[in-house]
Amino acid sequence: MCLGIPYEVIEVLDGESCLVRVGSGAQHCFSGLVDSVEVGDWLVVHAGFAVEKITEQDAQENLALIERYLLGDEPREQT
Amino acid sequence: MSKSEAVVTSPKPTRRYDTVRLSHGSGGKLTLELITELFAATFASEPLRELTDAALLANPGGRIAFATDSHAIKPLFFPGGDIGRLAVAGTVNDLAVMGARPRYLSAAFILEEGFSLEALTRIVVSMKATADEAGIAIVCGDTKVVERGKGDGVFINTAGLGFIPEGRELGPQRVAAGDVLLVNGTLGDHGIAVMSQREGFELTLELKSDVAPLNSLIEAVLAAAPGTKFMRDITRGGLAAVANELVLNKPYGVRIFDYQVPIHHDVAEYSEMLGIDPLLAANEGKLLIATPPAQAEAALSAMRQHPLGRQAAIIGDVVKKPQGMALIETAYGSRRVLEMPIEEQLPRIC
Amino acid sequence: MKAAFVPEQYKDPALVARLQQRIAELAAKIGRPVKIMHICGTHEHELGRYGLRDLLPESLELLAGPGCPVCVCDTEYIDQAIQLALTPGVILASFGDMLAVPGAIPLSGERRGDVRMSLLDAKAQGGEVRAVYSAFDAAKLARDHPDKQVVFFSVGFETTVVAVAALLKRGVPENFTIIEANYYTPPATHLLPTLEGFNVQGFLLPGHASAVTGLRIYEHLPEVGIACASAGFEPVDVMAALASVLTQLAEGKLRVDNAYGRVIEYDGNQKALAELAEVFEPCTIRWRGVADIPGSGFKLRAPYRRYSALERFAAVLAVPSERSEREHPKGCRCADVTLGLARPTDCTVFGKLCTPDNPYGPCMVSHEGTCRAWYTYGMGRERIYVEV
Repeated sequence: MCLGIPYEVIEVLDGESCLVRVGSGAQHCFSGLVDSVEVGDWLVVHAGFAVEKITEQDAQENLALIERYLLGDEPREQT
Repeated sequence: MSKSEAVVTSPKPTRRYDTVRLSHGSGGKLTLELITELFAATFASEPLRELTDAALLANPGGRIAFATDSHAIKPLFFPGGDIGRLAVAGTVNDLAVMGARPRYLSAAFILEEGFSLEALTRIVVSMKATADEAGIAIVCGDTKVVERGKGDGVFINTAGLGFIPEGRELGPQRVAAGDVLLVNGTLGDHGIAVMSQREGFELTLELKSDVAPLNSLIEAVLAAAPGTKFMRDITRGGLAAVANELVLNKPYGVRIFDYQVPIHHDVAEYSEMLGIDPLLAANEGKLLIATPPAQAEAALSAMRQHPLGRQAAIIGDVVKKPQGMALIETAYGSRRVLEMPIEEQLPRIC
Repeated sequence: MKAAFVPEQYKDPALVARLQQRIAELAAKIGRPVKIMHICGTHEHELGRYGLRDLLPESLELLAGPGCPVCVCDTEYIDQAIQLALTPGVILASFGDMLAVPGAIPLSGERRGDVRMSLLDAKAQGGEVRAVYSAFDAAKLARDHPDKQVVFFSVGFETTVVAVAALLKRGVPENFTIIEANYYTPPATHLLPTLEGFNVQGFLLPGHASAVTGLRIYEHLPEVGIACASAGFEPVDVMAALASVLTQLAEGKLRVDNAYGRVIEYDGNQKALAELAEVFEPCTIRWRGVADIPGSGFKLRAPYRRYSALERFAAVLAVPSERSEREHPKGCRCADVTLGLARPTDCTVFGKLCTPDNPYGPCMVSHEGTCRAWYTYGMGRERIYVEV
């Protein structure tokens, strides 16, 4: 129910935690609830833990869906 | 590197103690040692050389401006500054925004028993460096010591005298609809930089506090834009507090374009993360300025040429209606109120 | 070319303007007033911050539903937190927002009648109360103070409780316990359409809570005539979700649409849900001033019950304290506002007697509260007209 902001992983500390870049600094992030985190991944972080990984492809699809709302085409069924 | 490290060499206080004793404040030998060897030696002003009960000062003429500020901050040292720099810059700025040329400061210390004398020395050196930067002299002061546990290391009060040249009159009564609003740089730096040092938050950032004396910047603005109507330093409560104070009971309102307000990258990211509005966060080296429309560009240009105004920007205007309101206009064309801040910004639940 | 997921893309004024246009077209096509409800305090906050209601046609009303975990937290838990804060040897760790929320224990000596104690009052009375940013910080506090008992006031919805489950599963010091005050929203969405006065045609579903739970749990809503779209928090995301809901209503084809696909997977975060189920089980919990809703609370399962403050401090909490009967102070309409049955401006004390520095109820105290957002951003007034 809360703001989660995408941050880039700059260092993997162990299987369940990493450092994400926030501004010019880094913030500790618990990533145990997201699969296989690598440097360069982007995570949606809420209160110090990663909720989801966010990929370029997911985002492109999201933007494409938004364009469909504008064109008035019926949005496709989601699975 | 902060300015406080650069310049002043002062004789170290007596090596007998590393920390403040109660007797440092009792008016006897230790007090005298502390004053002469630390304060007077570092501040090095004429009146302090004599150590009389009151400083006798030359009067350059003009209306007198008089301001005072007390500082009880935590932490005492933060990225970009310390309580000493804050204490000097704060009072200098209070005077300068009235159009006064600051000249003399007093400095009173309430020290906690057990406080490190090495830390106190750093603070005092920083005050001298800041005073030099502002071109002012610290001419009198006082020292008291309270028992361990009754103070947060050190509390500092500064009071200052400045003199307003003939023909200058700055104030909210001069502001009118159509005036342009400017700031001299990024907002929220001090608040977020200090927050990064508080217990429980471990953030390491490039961001530094913006604490600085702004009198030379203000002189540059007033030279380039002599019709400037109003200035206020933006401190606790951020831009929101200053904007609301300006419009209270006035026949005008203030409109700020949120996308024109300069915000440091670190402030944007960390304030988002912590749920804090940068427009409400504290500053210690920023001004809100109102100029007539014809002089806005000149004021802007003068600031951008000054080291403390490189990111100066026009952020809004004074409007006829709504009266008594400070509002935000967004990049989407929508509008909303910029409310007076209520309390200290704590990170939200989510 | 900027990456497609950076927030700037979703703040783009040009894209917002096109969505604004589309929403107006759809609203005109529908031809009758439409009410859409969101159930996330952060959505209300973002609506205020960006003034998004200004961009919507007159016929479209966007309502705030139960989206503030601080506001729905029953007084029982606040009072427990206060009692524990005042217990010697206990450090009460809480999110900042909860500190000023009044419970049901009367606070004497105030000029206005029916003022109740909050954790800040407990602190003023000598209780040890610390603000923390996360459950992890609270656990750290316990590690740093092995001689004290650290009680974490665990408030929040789905997203927040997942972090607590993850933390407990991985191990916390033995001097750490939690007050189980987390709430689960989906069951409330079963209750809402049955309430008298409820007249809503669409829902915006919460962005990050749904990333955890998935969207399948909301599929009952289209079946009762409510069009749904999940919404992120940037202006483009909110406008896109509104466009989706209106499109569904215009075409008469209702479903649960994932308009925040870059973050939400329809089935949610399985790993998070598994850990949640391992540590907590659903239970009935009272929503402050509203009702007991089955399956909407989280109770620690047997292997983790020793971390329940209710159990560990049973003796302390068994001592009854004087409590008001009313859930909210007299004059406060927080319960109605939380359910979206009243706007803050429908409440007689809003903005006049009840303000952020003299709040009556949690809706004004909490930054996630609807009344707080309305007050802060000046919502509910006439559209601001500027004369230069």
